This record gives sequence, C-alpha cells and structure tokens, in this order.
Amino acid sequence: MSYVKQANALAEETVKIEKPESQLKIMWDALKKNKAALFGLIVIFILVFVALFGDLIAPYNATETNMADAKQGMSAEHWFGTDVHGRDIFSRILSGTKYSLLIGIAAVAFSLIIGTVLGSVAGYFGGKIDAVIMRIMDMMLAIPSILLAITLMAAFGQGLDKAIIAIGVVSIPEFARIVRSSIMSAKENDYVAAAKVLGNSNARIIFRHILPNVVSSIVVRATLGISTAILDIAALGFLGLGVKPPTPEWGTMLGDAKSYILSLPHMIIFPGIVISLAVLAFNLFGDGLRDALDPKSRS
Amino acid sequence: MKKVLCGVVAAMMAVSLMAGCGGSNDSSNKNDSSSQNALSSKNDSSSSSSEKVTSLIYGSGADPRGLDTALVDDNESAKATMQIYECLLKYKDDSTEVEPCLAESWDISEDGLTYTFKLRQGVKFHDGTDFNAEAVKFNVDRQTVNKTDDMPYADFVFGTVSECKVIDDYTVAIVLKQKNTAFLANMAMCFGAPIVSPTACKENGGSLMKNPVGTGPYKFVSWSKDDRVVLEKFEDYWGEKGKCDQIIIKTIPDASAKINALTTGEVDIIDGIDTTMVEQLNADTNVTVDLTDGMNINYMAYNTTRLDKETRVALSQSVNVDELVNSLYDGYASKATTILPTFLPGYSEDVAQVAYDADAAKKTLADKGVTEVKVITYSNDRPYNTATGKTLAEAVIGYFDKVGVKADVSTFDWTTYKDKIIAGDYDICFYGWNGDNGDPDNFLNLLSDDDPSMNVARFNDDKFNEYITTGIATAAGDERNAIYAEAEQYVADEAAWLPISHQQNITACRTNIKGFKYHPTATVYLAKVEKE
Amino acid sequence: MLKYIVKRLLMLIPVLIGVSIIVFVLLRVFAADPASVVLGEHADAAAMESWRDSQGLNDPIIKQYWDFVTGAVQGDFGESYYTQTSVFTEIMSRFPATIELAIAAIIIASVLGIVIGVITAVKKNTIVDNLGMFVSLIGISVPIFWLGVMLQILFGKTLGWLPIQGASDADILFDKVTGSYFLDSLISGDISNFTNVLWHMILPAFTLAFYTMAIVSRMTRSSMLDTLNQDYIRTARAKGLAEGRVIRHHALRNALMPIVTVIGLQFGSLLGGAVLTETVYGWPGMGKYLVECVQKSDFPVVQSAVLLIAVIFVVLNLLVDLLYAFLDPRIKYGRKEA
Repeated sequence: MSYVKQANALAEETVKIEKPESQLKIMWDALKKNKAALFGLIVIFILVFVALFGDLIAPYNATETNMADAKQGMSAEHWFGTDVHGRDIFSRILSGTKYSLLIGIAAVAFSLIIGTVLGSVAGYFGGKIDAVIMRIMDMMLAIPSILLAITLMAAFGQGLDKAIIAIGVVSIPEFARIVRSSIMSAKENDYVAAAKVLGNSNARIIFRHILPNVVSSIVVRATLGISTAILDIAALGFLGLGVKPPTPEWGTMLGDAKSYILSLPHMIIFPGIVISLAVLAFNLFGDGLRDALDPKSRS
Repeated sequence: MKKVLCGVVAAMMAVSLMAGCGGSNDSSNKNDSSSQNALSSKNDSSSSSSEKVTSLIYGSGADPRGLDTALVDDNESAKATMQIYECLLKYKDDSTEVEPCLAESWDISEDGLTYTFKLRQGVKFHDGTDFNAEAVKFNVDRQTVNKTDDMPYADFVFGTVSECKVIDDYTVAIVLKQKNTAFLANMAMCFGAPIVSPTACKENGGSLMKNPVGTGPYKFVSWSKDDRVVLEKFEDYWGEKGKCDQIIIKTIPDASAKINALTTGEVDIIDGIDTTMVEQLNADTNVTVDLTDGMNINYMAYNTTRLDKETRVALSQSVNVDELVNSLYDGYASKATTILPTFLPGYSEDVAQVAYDADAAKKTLADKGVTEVKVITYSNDRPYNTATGKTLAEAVIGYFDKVGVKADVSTFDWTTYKDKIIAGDYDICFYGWNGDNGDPDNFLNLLSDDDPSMNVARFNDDKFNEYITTGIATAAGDERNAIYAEAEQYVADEAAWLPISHQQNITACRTNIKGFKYHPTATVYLAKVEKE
Repeated sequence: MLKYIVKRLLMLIPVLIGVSIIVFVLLRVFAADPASVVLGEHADAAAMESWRDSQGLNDPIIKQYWDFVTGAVQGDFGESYYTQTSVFTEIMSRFPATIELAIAAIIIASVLGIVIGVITAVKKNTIVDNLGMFVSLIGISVPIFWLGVMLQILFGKTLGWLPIQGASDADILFDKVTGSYFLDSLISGDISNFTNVLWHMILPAFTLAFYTMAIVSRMTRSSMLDTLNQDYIRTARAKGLAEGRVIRHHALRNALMPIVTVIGLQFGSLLGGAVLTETVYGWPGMGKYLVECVQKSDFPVVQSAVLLIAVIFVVLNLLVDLLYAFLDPRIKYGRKEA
C-alpha cells in the first residue's frame, strides 16, 4: 500500500515539474526579450480590442447601405473610401475584425479538438488503430484542401458556422500528426509507465499525464494555425464563398472587391493590408512562442 | 554504389512522371491531329510573311462550353459558333427581324402550321458536303425525332415541330403541331437552329463539340482549352467573304485583365465590361466604347406561394429602384418599367409598376408583422446583371432593413442556385432573362411556365396564363401587342416580380476596328468586321 | 532499395482507393445536381430525370463507384458532363500548364529561398538578417491572391512592364505538342514565341513562389544555424578553409536535408495554391478549371483530377524520401529500422 502511495507521489511529482504553469513562465521570460514576438502580441491585443469594441469605435454603421454615397474614393469623411453599397470601408474593417478572429480561432479550436483526440488515440495505442487513423489523415492530406473547402461551402451555402467547419476540417490531419508524434515520444517516459502500473485508465493517462506535457508544442502550432485559418477564410471569401451578406468579414470584402480592381482599387487594397497584418501578428507571436520553448534557438 | 542507384531511381521516377504527362498528351492530341496540322501550316505561311495575315482578336470572358450548337447553351460558345455556322434565316444587324440566309425565301400556309423554305443553291459545308434539303432535314430530325437529353435548346426551338419533309433537293417543309408565331424568329437563333454538316456529325458520333463544320464565313482551325479558339476565313463561302483572314477568340476570365488586354492592344474587341470601367475606357483614345440596349430583364421574384399580394406590394414599395439602378450600374442600365425591353413588340410605356413609398411599406409590413424574409441569390455576374446577384441582393436588403425587415441572404454559385430554386425554400430570389429570339412570349411566358426553375415566382394565375396562350397563337401585329401590354399591367399589379433593370451591353474595340456590332441577342457576327 | 520502392508504391493503392471514395461520396452527397447545368435553362424535370438515368446517377452509389473504378483501371475516366469531351483529354490539355507553372515557382522559391536563408544565417543578427527574415514573414502572411492582384496593379496597370493575364499573347500561335507552353514555344523554334511565354510566366510564377520561398528561407536559415554550430564546421574553419568554401561545401550540404523535405512537401501544396494563382492570372491550367468543375458539378472530371493530384502528392513524398537517402548516406531504406 505504501509502495503504491509512494509511486503515486512520484508520478504526481514528475507531472508537477512539467506542469504547464512553470512552462508558461519560462516561455514568458523568453518572450519578453523577443521584440518581434512582443510586437505580434501587441497587434493581437489591438485586434482583440477592436473585435470587442469595433462597432463602437467605427465612424459609420458597417452594414447600413447608402446607395447615394456608393463607390467613393478615399476622403476625409471616408478614410478608406466606400464600397458599391455606399458603406464606409474603414468602419467595415473595424466591425469585421471580430468575424475574422472568431473564424480563425474557432476553426483552429475545431481542428485542434478533433485532431488531438485522433492523434492521441493513434499515438497512444499504436498498431492497427494508429495505421487506420493515420492512413485516413494521409488521404485527407492528398486532397487539395481548398477543393475540399470549396465543395463543402458550395453545398451548404455561406455562413460563419459553415466557414468554420470547412476550414477546420481541412486542418485536422496536421494537428493529428503533431499530437501523435508528441504522444509517441512522451509515452516512452517513466511517469507514463508509472501511471500505467498504478492502473490508471487509458483516457486518464492521455489527458492527465501525457497531453499536459505536449501542450506547449500544440499551443505553438495552434497559434500559427490561426494565421493559416485567417488566410484560408480570406481565400474562400475571395472565391465568393465567405459569410452571408452584409457581414463585413475581411475575406468576403476582398471577394466583393474583385470585380473593381481597376476602377475602385481601394476596395481591395485596405482589407488585404489588414488581413496581412493580422496574419503577420499571429506568425510573429507563434514564432516567438516556439523559440521560447526551444532552448536551442534561444541561444 | 547504393547512393548512385538511389539518385538514378529518383531521377528516373521524376522523368517518367513528366513523360507520363507528355506521352499521354500526345495521344490526346491525336484526336485533333487534323486541326493541329492546319494550325501549323497556317503558322508556316504566316512566318514566311510573304503576305500579311490579319487576325481579329476577340477577348471573351469564358471558355466556350463546346462548338456544337445543338449541345450548348452559353453565349461564349456562340461567339465562335456563329462565325462557323449559319441558320436558315438570320437576324438583321441591330434587331430581331429575320431575313434570308441559307433559305432564300419562305411561305407560311393558311393555317399557320406549315413553313416551306426555298433553300440557297451551291452552298457547301467546310468539309465539302453539299448543303441541301436532306441536310436541313438531318438537322431538324436530329433535334426532334432523334433528340437526346443533352440538347438544351431542342425543345425551345423545335418543340412545336411535328415533322420535316423534303419536297425536292432545295425545298423543305416544316410542319408544326400548333401555331407558333415565334417560329420564324427561332430559325435564326444561335442555339439549336444553326445547320451543321450531316457528314461531319455522323463521322463524329453525333457530336461536333470539338470539330465543328458549318457553312459560315469562317472555318474552325483549333481550340486550346481555356486559352483560345482559332478560326480562318473560308475561301469558298457563298456570300461576301470574311474581311479578316483569321479570328482568334481569346479566353480572358478576369474582367480587369480583359480591359488591360484591350488597352495594351493585345486584343481588338472585348465585351461584358463592368459599368465602373466605362469612364476610364472613354478616356483612352485608342479605344471606342460601344453601348447597345440589351434584350434582357433583371428582376427580383417573390415566391408567390409564400408571400401574399399585400406583403409583395409593400416590399416592392420599400425599394428605391431608381436610386439603386443608377448607383449600382452607373447609368449603364435603365430602370425597368416593364418586363419587356423597350424595343420589343408588345412593349407599352403605359405599364406602371408598384411605386417607391417607404413609409407606406413600413406601415403595411409592421401591421402584417413581417420582420424577416429568406432571400437566395447567385454569386456570378450574368449578362443581365453585370454587378452579380449578390451585390444586387445586398443593395435590396439594405432597403428592406430601412423598413424594419431583416433578410437572411444565402448566396450560391449558379449551378447550386438552380437546385435551390427548384427546392423552393425561399421568400425572395433574384433572377433574370436574356431574350433568345426577340419575341415577347419568350419573356412573358416565364410567369406561366409549370417548371419552377423557369417560373421562379411560382406564379400560377389562370387569367395570366390565358393571356399567354392567346398571345402565342395570335399573328404578329397590334392585336398581339395589346394582349402583352395588358398582361404586363396585370402581373405588375399582382407584384409577382419587382422588375429592376434592363442592362446595356457594353463593348469596346480598338479604334482601328471598323464595323463591329454587338447583336441584341448577345451574339456577335464578325465576318463584316475590318481591321485597319 | 528496390523492394522499398515497390512497397511504397503498393501503399499508394489503399490511399488512392480512400481518396477516390472520399471524393466520390462528397460529390454525390454534397454537390449540386449536375443535370440542371448540363441541360440548361430550358430543361424540364422529365428530361433531367432521364439524363440522370443515362449517366447512371440514379444507380446505387456503390454501383456508380464500381463503374468508375472498373473504368479507371482500364484507363477510361469517362466524359465531362459539361463539354462531353473525354476527361482524359480535358485534364491533359490543362495539366501541363499547371505543372510548368508549379515547376517554375518551385525553382524560383528554392533558389531565392536558399540564398536568402544562407545569407541571413551567415549574417545572423545584422540588418541583412532582419531584412531577409522580414521579407520571409511577409511571404507567409500575405494572401497569395491579394499579392497577385497587387502585382497586377503595380506591374501591369501602373508600370505596364509585364503581361498580367494568360500564358501568351493572343496572336502568338504555335503547335500544342506537349501541352506545356514553355516547351511548345521552344519546339516552335521561334525565339519570340518563347520569350513571350517566359514574359507571361514571370508574375504568376513569382506570386505562386512567394509563400514557398518564405518557408524555404526560414527553414534554410534555422537549418544552417544548426549546422554552423557543429564541431566539423569548427574543424573546417580551424583547418583554415576559406569561409565561402566552408559554407558551400560543408554547412549547406549538411543543412540541405530538411530543406529538401520542405521543398518536396511544398510542391504538393503549390498545386493547391495554383487554384488561386491561376484564377487571378487567367493561367490556362488545372487549378482554375477544377474549381469551375466543382461549381458545375462535373463529377467525372473532379473525381479523376483529384485522384491524379493525390498520385502526384504521394509519389512526390516518395521522391523526397529517396532524395534523403541520396543526400545522407547514413539513411538506408529497406532495412528493418528504416
């Protein structure tokens, strides 16, 4: 009995040392020194702020049409000009921040959850289950993701929820692969063996003992995944498969501007800049996180 | 050693992958080897440059679907096919009045059911086959008794035909099942009606999609998919020969790139120009912009099985159509006061649509408790709506919003859109129509059709249907026009549609191009176009 | 070695079967009914039904799949619903154009990417490094189609230097022998044809390359930094070898492994990027065409084309693995551990 207790304490202790909190602190210390990553973080904070309060800051109503003011260039009243429905593009960009962020984060969350479950199961159990899951992931990777997303969007029609699912589905394999390889290396560790000896259930071992230790690499991947997701939704919007009008989502704004490249270039320039900036911010921050976790590149 | 082997194998696989593409492509080219050779011989003669070959280059917005007029339904295909084929009759240059073409004259029997055509003699197809009564019969039979499912216009053009009889070598009689005043106009249409070479059709298993053979002023040379169709002058043409030696129809899907190609002089003529670009093009001294009235109607339809008349009227009242059309189409579309374009027989300026009155609309809609409508629309641009259905819908729901009605808008690509239309789960949808033959029936019967993919308002009204059945059987003239004017007012009062606009066809060409005209049927005839 | 290749090629089969099933089911469950687009505006319900019958679309899905597979095995991929042309012809008249664009892009991306990566690694923490890394960051942050449009506006409209549309000028005519504009214009023997095609290729190839270039340069930089810290580099330097020689012969060669992986994997994703690039530049390739076919529910084309892309993807992965063995003598495939 005491032996078991001892082993249990040992297992707990090992886990404690690797606890995410302490990792976060190490990460933060490293991050603070990385100017680029800090810049990314600041931009992300601004984006989140605009996402929360964009409609209040915006000088005009982002969705109300005003046909009499349509197709105007840049001016003091309309900094970024107006679109074909007379809506202020600056206001639409502010108001649209929440949709682009929401889609990016929710799509990553979607693929992260499913990818983590599939990857954990495959990595932990190995053998036939692993082979089957990973072959299915291979198949999904072999189909160009944009075609998959287009098929899904074309069938369901536009909408926030549909865009999230379409983009989420196509990045499941990536997360599944990362989680699987992390799990495979983590499960060789002593504390997993100890937890097994103690008769912990498989699910408990995966979620309590293994996942917390690979969480950092998943977080990095997820941060970078948000930037990819924002690019993906922009691509769907550009192909005319974004969200429902009059929602001012950035990619959809690009899609609407497509026909007016020569006559109303401001319609496509500004949303594009904002998308690039948002993606850049998540990339910088993600890079910084990865460097912070990887002592080798820190030196 | 192993290392070298690895390298060699990797290289071999790379090569075989490429060779696989190349090799297979060779075999695919074999099908068209004759046309490919023709292209190369043409090229040889031009590179020796003893004589200058004039090529007219037309920038088109999409690749043709195919080059067999019985099997396609898109105007992009017609841009190529109408230089290659001819019909029994043809339209005048700027109207849908018919005049002789492959038929020199025609008679209509007393009962209006038998059309007898006297055919032009000495006409040959590009493959040397004689054009005669048998050829006409082959073409009519092909789309009537021998019809297959994949002929989109067979029923429209020949649906009322009961039989085609050869009287002698150069006389045919086409017998109708019922009177059809639009039949002569149909005989000049760019789909279904063009006469193809029976020999070529039989040789190619009944499809001339890739290797068209007609009697027209230009013959087919080559088609490089998503890139260009090349035609060359047919030297043995029976009539006035084509002015340019060669016609190249270049596919340029992107609207901006198409305009760029014109201003840089890469192409000579373009069509389907966005209204926001007209001003810039007008400023370019090397380019002439040409505006012609379009034979089309761009409309919003209410699902009459879901919205009652009062709601429909109120929603129509809420939309400031004047402002919307001016702003969205920059003055290059006219507000529709009728379904029929103004130059069609049956048009009446006395017809009045529901007038704009936002206050009245707000009151009615509030009283009736209408707060939300389900709207579906298409994402593409269409000839009758260059601004895309999505943009139009967004503008309209902006007006709904102002009278307190929220709209749930779903946008679909055209294919899926038609599925959704058939499924019928919508209160409001956007649609339009480009006239086929210049007959008023071609427009107004849309509201009496049983097929919900045609009659998108699902309007089913006995009185209106009677107008339509009387109209089609009445001979052209004032009496017939009066029937259509009355029908227009009736359906305007019912508010089944909100007619929005008639779009102008905007084309532009280089200033050294003479004689180019865009036909109201959204087709082009290029034989008379000169390049200086 | 050979055994390993054969084994890998055999593994293709289940992947292809899986891919074909996924695509087949996706199309039939989710895509719109093709009948209305094939038969056009005037088609009635009865004609559509009879057409669906004739195409076997009313058969049970298992039978449809079986018909497709048996056809495909015999090299018959069916006919495009929309153009009634054999799918093989349709795909092969566009595929070479996409491949040549992708190859041009991968060459640009690899050369520029490796050069930038090496320079930034060698000049670590200097202004050059920061600049190079900034360009790479822009590369992975800018939407590819937006970049394309901006380049069109800049080079086509404002400066007028480069063509912004298509693969060659409309009045340039030459035989289509291989289907590749690059090769065919060379075969035509007329140098002006060739330069015209090359000129048209610059913007789309660069646009397509930009993202991959950024990935390659980032990968090269970090891989170079790793190797530059290794003992044998120090030894080489200590031996008094010229710095340029150390970098080219010792460091780069050893840093190349992960770079090759990235380039190989990126080539597959370039085919996806080609969809957007081809749409922007009107390049007559497969990407744009495939999107149109998805939207037109042209099932036979979509299912065959996706299968083809899957084959390329898997074969490329294999090629990358083989290149590994070539570059790194320590790796030997075919043994149990590998």
